[in-house]
Amino acid sequence: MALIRYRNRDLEPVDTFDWLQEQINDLFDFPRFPEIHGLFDRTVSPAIDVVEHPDRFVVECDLPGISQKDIDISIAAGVLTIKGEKKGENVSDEAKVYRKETWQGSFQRTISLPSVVDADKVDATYRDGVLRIELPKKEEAKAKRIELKGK
Amino acid sequence: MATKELEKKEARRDREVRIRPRCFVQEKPDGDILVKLEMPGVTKEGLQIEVDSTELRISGRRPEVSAAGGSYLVRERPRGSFYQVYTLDDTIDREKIDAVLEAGVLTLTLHRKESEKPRRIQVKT
Repeated sequence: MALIRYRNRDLEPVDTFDWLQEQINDLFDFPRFPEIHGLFDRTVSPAIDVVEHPDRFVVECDLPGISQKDIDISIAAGVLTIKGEKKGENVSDEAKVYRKETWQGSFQRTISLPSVVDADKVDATYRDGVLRIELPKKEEAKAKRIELKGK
Repeated sequence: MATKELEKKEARRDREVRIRPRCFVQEKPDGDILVKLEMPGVTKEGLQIEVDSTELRISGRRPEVSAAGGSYLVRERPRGSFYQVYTLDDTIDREKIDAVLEAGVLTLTLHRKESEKPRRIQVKT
């Protein structure tokens, strides 16, 4: 029987649990399922990106196959809400459906905005299945350069 | 521990992956196959559809996300391009494949060859 040191680094039980947790997390992050990350199903809450620029925030949201009038964007009390409904496919009774991964129904996403956002100047466009919302910052919140005065 | 986890997550996101678009495949009563693929962000220019004797290959590149000069606060959309391959059998007419891209959804109509279409045979009395 080999002697094992009392606190062998390779046998650190905490590390083993770390490893186990990583394995389990990787399982849920399986990237081959389209648009599903982790446990959150992207059907009821579509995936978004929020990018902060020096003068504005940009929110981009994947919403393929939705007509523009079915998208409802509102800002109330510093909370941006993207709501809408996706219409399903019209399938006649005689058609055979082989595979259906698309979904239909309503979706909603809410993002709380920082107070620097100027809610009156928000601009939204929908192109190629991607919703893009531009949220400019208020003038006073933009970074200002301060010049040093020499004597 | 927490930062390690975050770094790993970031690394996974930066990796360009081939995303399999969500699909909807149905056969219409007249035998034509309708394929709908959800490819948000893909423009007509970034879309490539190839067909040969056995396969139908669809790839859709989407423009790089405009994060230049900014930093991500939330990042959930997958990076990379859409890719899907379908195997076609002999009953599909290769010359007659219609493709329409609208609002990030690609609709392909694969027509059956005329000789393969289901037809009703009238019984003569």
